[in-house]
Amino acid sequence: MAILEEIAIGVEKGDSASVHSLTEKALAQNIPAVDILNNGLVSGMGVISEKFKNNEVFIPEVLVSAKAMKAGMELLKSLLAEANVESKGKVVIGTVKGDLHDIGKNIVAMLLEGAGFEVIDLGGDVPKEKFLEFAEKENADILGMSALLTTTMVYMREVIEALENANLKPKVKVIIGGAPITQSFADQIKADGYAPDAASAIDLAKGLLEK
Amino acid sequence: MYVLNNISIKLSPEKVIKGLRLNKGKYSSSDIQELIETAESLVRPKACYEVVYISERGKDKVKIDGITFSSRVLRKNLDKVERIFPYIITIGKPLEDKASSFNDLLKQYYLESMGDMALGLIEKYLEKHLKKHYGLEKLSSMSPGSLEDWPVTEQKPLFSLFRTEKDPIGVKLTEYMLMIPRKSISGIYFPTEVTFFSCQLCSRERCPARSAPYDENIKKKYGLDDE
Repeated sequence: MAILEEIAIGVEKGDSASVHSLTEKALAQNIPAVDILNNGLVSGMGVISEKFKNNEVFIPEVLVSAKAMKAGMELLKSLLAEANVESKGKVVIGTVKGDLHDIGKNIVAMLLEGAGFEVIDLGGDVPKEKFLEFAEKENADILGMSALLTTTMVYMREVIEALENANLKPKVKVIIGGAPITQSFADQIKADGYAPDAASAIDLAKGLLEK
Repeated sequence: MYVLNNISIKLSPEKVIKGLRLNKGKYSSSDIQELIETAESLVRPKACYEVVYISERGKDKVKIDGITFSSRVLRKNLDKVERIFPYIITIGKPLEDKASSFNDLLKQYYLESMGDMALGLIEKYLEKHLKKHYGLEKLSSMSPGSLEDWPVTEQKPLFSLFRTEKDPIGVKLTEYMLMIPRKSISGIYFPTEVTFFSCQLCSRERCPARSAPYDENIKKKYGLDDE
């Protein structure tokens, strides 16, 4: 459908006004909200994510596109809820205890929502008890942790151990990221995945839930 | 401790457009000026430094004003240096508080990025000040945490060089080595013949803060090629 392609292009170009009006138009044409979401909005974000992975665009362009996607989403939210459309998965995300850096984590949260996940963002300086509480309460599929300091990243091990002791692992998959994080560290602490950047985090989340 | 308070920060529109990758077609000059004025109004620039001396040199260690620092790179960089300038700079809290209050992530990102640019300007201001007041031609700097060789935990001894103040210029170091306000930098300026950048020894890809290309030969020169 041409209009859904136009929506996808609008998201890719970061044109919030156009995405909003095209989404209204698509709804007026009785196109199901879930189709507008998947084949318009999410499709457009997918293109931008690929471009980001290939260094064709950078974080500012990704955020502008995400903002355009949100402009369409606000028209679909209640319709998707009414139709009981399930999200791709539930993600609880936060920056670990002692650390306040949040912009990278915020970008991942936004892109996960853009990819169709439901995201509960716990903010920064999150102790393991809070990660556990929300992972359990929300029946999370994925727990995402961010840290920007070598002194705070070590806390991720404690969180994973707490999940294991509470029998929440292996059901809850753990993905980690942040400047000092490496694949080797992720393997050491038995995280289920490591994402070097926001776009990879989305692929990782999708991949873990497909298994 | 020497404190520099009257630091004027002027963000360049060209650098803001480039750094934020603003689409010139979408933003007018007055939009960009408004963004800049918002950031500049929230920046509270401050810098402080000490003048200290190397008291001892060991293997991969150096004693500065009686306090030991462990880093092969720092030791090598300070090999022929006697006097150095530990420093702390900050843009204060208002900008980060304002950025955190935004629901719009794009606005948050723009403001935080301009905060980083302002921090870079304070660093340049301090460098210029040191060169002028101490008759130095060239200075390089290193910050704990920029390299695995000099970890972020070394901020603790660095802060202890500022003997006169508990939280110098209002910058607090937490137990996790996080500086509050977040947009602060601590480090050491030292005289050099050839400018050194920690980035030359860091192989991390896609780093927005990279200030020099990674160079394996320089890494070998510092004896880090086995890491």
